[in-house]
Amino acid sequence: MALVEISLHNHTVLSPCAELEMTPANIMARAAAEGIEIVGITDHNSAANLRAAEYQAERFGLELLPGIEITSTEDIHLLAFFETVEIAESIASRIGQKLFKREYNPERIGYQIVVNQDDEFSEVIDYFLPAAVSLGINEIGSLVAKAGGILIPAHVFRSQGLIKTLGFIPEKPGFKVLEYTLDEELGQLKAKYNFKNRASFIKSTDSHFIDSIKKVARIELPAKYSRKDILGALL
Amino acid sequence: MVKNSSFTEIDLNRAVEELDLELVTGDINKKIEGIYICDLLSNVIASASSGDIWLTVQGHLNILAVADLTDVAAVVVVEGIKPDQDTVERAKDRGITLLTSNKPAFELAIDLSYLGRH
Repeated sequence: MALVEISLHNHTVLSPCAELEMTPANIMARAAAEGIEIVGITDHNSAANLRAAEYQAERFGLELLPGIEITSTEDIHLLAFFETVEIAESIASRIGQKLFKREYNPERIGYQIVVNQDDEFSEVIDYFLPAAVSLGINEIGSLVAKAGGILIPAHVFRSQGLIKTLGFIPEKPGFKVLEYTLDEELGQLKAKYNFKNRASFIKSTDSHFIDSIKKVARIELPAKYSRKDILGALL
Repeated sequence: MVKNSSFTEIDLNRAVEELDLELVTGDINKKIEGIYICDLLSNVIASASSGDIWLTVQGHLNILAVADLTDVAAVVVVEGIKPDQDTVERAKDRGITLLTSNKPAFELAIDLSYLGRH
């Protein structure tokens, strides 16, 4: 067993809030340079850049962890991770049907760009992807569990985070791991809440620009590991 | 949601003056065509209309994206809550009209509704 560096939460150019430099190739290049081995790609309510990310991860000798940052109907951001890009895509398509599609002004909020394998811009999504889907956290929990995935509430202490939004950690769907982004936040969390459900924490950078991609978390894995091992090690 | 059929547009200028709204940033020389109250951002995205004045207790950065998406005339952060510094600066950059009020949303909406009918 060894400790492996993981960068859980990264947005590509598909997320309107991400910089245009956040193409899969640029993300993987930086992650490799930083000594990160596993890279989670988690765009808002979409898996459209995961194929390109998987190809680029392989080029740089990294492991992609296919993910989606889902906005629940309670306005809570949840990171869903899956064993394969195909499974993530099928969940994204289910989520997409539940998304309220409102057009927006990309000049002000940011473009949502799908890239092809060679990191070239291929399509622009014209409805606002980060809007909430009409599925509650429990429904999303069972959808993801049935697909063999895991669900980690994102940046729980920030806006649209589980604790900031709800004020508590609900019993269901039984979150085992919570994501945080700043060490100060974790201190506040631990002081303020009694974690009856023994949730553990994982740090991420929630990267929207290249310079923020850094080593902040590691998980224990065997020398040869599969995506299933990664999902298991995260919980 | 407060939508009153007898509500006619009101000058935001007048509302600011008569209802003790505090201007944080933005232009108030415009008309308000409706009042919308909600704190769940996804719901605001789905239901607020262009030209509405949106009353909320949320003061974080994401309200600006929502204001942009829905094209509301102004955002009022109510109950004496102060918007985050980031939010204020970004609203300034984006030209979004941001106000605050010490009243709860319900009371402010009653006052606005009165102005809209008189």
